[in-house]
Amino acid sequence: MTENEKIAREVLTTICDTEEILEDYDLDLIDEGFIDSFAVLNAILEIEKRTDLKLQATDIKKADISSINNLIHFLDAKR
Amino acid sequence: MLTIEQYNGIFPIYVYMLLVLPAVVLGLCGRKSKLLNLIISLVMLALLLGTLSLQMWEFVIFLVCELTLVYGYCFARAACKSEWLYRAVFALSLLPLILVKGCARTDLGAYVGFIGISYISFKVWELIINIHDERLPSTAPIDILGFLLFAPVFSSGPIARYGAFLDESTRRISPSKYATEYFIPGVKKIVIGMFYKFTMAFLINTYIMDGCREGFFTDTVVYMYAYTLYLFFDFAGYSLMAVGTGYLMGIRIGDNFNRPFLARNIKEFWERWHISLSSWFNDYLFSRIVLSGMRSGLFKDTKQASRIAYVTTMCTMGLWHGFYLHYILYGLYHGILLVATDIWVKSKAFRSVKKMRYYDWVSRTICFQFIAFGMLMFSGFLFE
Repeated sequence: MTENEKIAREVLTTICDTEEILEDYDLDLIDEGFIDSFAVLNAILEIEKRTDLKLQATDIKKADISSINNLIHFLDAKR
Repeated sequence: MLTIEQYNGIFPIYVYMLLVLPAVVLGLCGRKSKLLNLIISLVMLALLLGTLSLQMWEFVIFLVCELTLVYGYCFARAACKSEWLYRAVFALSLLPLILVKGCARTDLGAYVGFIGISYISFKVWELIINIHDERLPSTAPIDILGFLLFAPVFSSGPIARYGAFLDESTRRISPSKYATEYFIPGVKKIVIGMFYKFTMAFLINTYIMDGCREGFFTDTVVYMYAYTLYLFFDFAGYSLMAVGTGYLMGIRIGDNFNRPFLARNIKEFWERWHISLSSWFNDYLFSRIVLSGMRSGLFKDTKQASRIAYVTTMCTMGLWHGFYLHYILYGLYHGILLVATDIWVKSKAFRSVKKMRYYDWVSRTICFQFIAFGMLMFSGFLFE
């Protein structure tokens, strides 16, 4: 498991408050009702806790955290 | 000299269509020119503000000062990362608008300020915030000026965003793409906008609102609903015409309204009403209060942070409309409603109510009453 994958799993299980989401990396968390626009702010705080990234609300879109794979891609691009 | 107020009649729209014609021809040839768009904007602004008028002078002075501030800060930021410098620069950029809003209540109100200062200020602030965050995609004068002066949305928005604006003005599009994704939707928006503003808003204003007398209960109730619909048709109509004109110039800007009266709660309402304003405040004020408050440990959890940020953001939004009691109360009212909505949608009761059959329409009807009462406060009708 890469470091970004590990972070993405941790961040999203914290925000969604369930480990169910780990089963499918492409599960659309917006459709499933786990993610709203406020979740983006929680995601920023959780990512900052685990990395040295300094993020603003405008750096990350809801789509970037809508699945584990999307968040891995986002982290790969940013770090 | 003849001045032309934006989109307030058939004639201004006719003039605008003539002015954007060169950009349309260029678009249909598969080309786009930042310089041409800037020139078209300058002509529109000269028609809006008057060439040698007091307004024009104040606008030029404002622009020179703000550009000095933006470029000065750009230069200084590279050498100095001080947060105090950022705060000072930001405070300076607020000054003209505070001055104008303050003077609006005095005899000087007729002389100080120019049309569109409230809206161009958002663009300046966005630039300064992005310089501070080291996220400004371009500092080329043609881009900055093209963005700040983009005339279709100058007097009352929607508020364009620099990154998206830059993408649009730089992107090359084929003639067929211009025709189907810019020209046709643009014309459609302008036609619908004209219908909203010149037919619907006009009729409501002339036949319902004009007959309402202050101080009578039934008249106030009628006025409340009429004004709510009037404001939607007037402002959404205006916004559609502004966005449509932008499309013709090859610049797509997001729609400002998305069927706001279908909102099932106030949070949803602000995702549908004056979207460019609420998303600006969301990105640059609300989110930043929550994030910085959480990082510094000022708030104990994000729930508390979001509720404090809702009230602060909405009160600021109220103040931005003008330094009047009814605007401040309007902001406070919506701040409190957002907090109440937040508590409601997180409650157990909500989860069971949501499953009920007529939930959507019952909640829309109730939500509309709150929206309409807010509009009544906003109109100032109660305070005359």
